Amino acid sequence: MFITFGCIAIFFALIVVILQLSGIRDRNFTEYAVGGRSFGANYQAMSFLNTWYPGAMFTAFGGMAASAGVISFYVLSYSLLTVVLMYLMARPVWVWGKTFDLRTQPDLLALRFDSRHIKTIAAVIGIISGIPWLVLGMQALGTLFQQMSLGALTFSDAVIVGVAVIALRQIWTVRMGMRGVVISDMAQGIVAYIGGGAILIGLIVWMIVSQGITFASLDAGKFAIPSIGSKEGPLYVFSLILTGTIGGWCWPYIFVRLFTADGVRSLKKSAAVAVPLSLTFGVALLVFGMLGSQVGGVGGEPNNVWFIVSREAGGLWLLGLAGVVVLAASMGHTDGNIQATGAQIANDLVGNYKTLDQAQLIVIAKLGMLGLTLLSAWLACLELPALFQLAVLAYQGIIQLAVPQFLGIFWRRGNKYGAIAGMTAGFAVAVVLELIYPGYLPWAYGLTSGAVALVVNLAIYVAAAYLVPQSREEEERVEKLFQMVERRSSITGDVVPDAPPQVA
Amino acid sequence: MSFAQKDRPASLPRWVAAWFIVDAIVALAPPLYWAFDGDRTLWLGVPAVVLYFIAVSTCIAASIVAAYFAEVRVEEAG
Repeated sequence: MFITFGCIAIFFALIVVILQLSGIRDRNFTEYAVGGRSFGANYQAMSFLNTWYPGAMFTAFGGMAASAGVISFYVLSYSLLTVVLMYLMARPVWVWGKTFDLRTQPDLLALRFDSRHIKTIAAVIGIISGIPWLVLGMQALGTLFQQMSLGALTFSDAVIVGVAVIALRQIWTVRMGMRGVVISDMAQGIVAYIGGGAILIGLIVWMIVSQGITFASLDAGKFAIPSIGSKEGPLYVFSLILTGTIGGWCWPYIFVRLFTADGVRSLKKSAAVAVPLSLTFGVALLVFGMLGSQVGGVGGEPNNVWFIVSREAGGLWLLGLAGVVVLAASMGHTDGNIQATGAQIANDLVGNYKTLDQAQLIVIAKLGMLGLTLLSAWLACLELPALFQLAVLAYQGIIQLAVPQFLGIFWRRGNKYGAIAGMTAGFAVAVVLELIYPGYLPWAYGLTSGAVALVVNLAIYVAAAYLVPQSREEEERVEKLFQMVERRSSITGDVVPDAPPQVA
Repeated sequence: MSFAQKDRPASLPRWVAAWFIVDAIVALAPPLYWAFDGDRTLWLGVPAVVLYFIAVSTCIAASIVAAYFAEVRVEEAG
């Protein structure tokens, strides 16, 4: 236990030292919320990965690969396909963000649809939907600390330790804002995905060479994909990949990465840097999980495949490193979530109805982050039986932001009426369907509730775009927004000389 | 003006746009993954169904890297 907790303590101290040495002073709210739009491609890439892949990748998705097999690869398909969306969105989102000093996802929706209310609605959906995932992330640390204690801690005690550690880490997130998040993401990301990937590859080699485990050792069920005649339905995997791809950018803490870069070129380069890492890490993790299912003890606890195989292959030292890797991934995700939510509370809720100066915005964001940390830490220590269902429900709901977000960015037509009505109706349909048919809809060939609700949402948005007449001023305003992006047709497109007044 | 002409992201080469569409098709088209359901035929020592997912992922990753370098080349050529 001294070895495993020692590894965790050294890593935690290292991250704190890095943050302390960075000596960040936030001059204004843009600095605090989006790091002053100052990060290059490498920081952007690692920050995206560290927010995208939480520690649960090693437990939940590693466990899914061990228990269900090849279907777990859907996570890799959507994790890469979503970067294509990032590549396409990079220019318009960054140019509008820089020009109008946008700091959050609702800021962008408010700008595009010229609506104050859409900002509030999007912020409320984002904040409420994010809380169950934040709590789940904190609880997942319970698994980590129980493994690190070699079974000495009960699960509930381990959850309390995990929550205490991650809550302590938030002191630096609250103090340093986005710049602290991105700088620590670099260190955490290197440990989690480069270090973790190297360990995964080593463990795969160990299983093949030393244990004689190959794909031929696995039973046929591990190679099944829900298809025609399956229980889930033939469109189940399609639905998972589609909603995962477009849903990723609906989360405020992912979307805000588009505002932290120092230019369009950095964003696009970050995509090119991130995908090879994501591909290598994802393939290694999922192949590891599938092969790891044959290691003794994993069958009964597939979610612990990462810890069990690490300990089996490398003893306590490797188990300690495995714990460091999961903690590094968890920290990045939790920090990003809390930082983005705090910024939204200040910018999109309080600041949407009350004029605040820069210092007041920063103070409210910090108080929001502190409150959110305490609330989620408290919830994580409770026994909430419906928490996972709430989290799934939240996901099906938040992806309804995708319709106004993506069509608003790529299509000149579309207005606030369609955006608000479609998003609200889509959210309601998703919630009702998910409550009646949790998981997937048997009568819709396996589509998930969120996918069906997206169709309703899209129909309303498109209908309103054609049926609700727009004023000439509104048409001209939107046209100017799109022309602004087209004028900057180069990959750099970083300089914004004639910034119009802020609309949002 | 059509959506494709007017709203296509500026400076994205056509072949890159086509590759991105291929990415979406190979990742999402149900008949493709139905065809590999349960297929354990070994290709380079890897079952076909696993190789399908790895190939799709590699195709997507390669398209993004290629898109970036293509845009840089266009940019540098002025």
